[in-house]
Amino acid sequence: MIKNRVKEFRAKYNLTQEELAGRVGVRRETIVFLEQGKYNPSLMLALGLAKELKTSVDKLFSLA
Amino acid sequence: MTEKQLRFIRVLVAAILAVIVSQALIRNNFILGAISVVIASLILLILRKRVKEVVADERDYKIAGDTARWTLSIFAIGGWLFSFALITMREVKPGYEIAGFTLSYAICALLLINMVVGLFFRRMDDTFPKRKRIAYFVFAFFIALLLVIAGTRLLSGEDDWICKDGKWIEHGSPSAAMPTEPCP
Repeated sequence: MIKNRVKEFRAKYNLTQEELAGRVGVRRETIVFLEQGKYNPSLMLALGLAKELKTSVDKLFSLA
Repeated sequence: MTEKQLRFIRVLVAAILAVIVSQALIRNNFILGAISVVIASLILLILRKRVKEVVADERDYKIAGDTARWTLSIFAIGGWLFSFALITMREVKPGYEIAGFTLSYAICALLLINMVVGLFFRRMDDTFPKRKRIAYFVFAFFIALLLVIAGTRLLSGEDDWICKDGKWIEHGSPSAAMPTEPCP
């Protein structure tokens, strides 16, 4: 499973799940599952999230 | 339009379509049924384009893929067992044999379509233009449909007992014995 810090970075930039979802082109539920560690994103989504959260993929995601 | 509104309209369209198609089938008006399906599909397609929110994303596609794979396996294995049971019971009622073979052909057709669509997607890479991909898909779909129709037409067992003027008449060479029940 992949660990992620999406929630932490989202809070840092004061973004709601809905806003982040809209920016990366997914539904809010996907962000919810992602933050709960119940969904592994595609490389495309991981890169999109890293870009929106102004960080790199390796800082945002790591192997559990 | 929001995704929630689209979902509500989808259910509404499906309910109306079910009523129209069932009535069309009862009245043997197949054209009305076919036209209503096409119109409903077009309405939903146009409405979907008007939704600004994301209607489906990569997680939905992944779930849809897993669901399709499991559904296909359950239908193929379950259907095969059920059709086998129906065919073995042909002595009880000749109609069972027809039902069994129809189910078998339906499973074969589904697996054939799955194979063709699978081959198609394996050949397409992510850089392939979306419009071309849809055009190729529609072409492949019609080829598969033609093959299924041709296969069904060529392989379907038309050998059966037909009731005519109160008598059972052989049509072709049915494998089952003449039905014991009286011909209505």
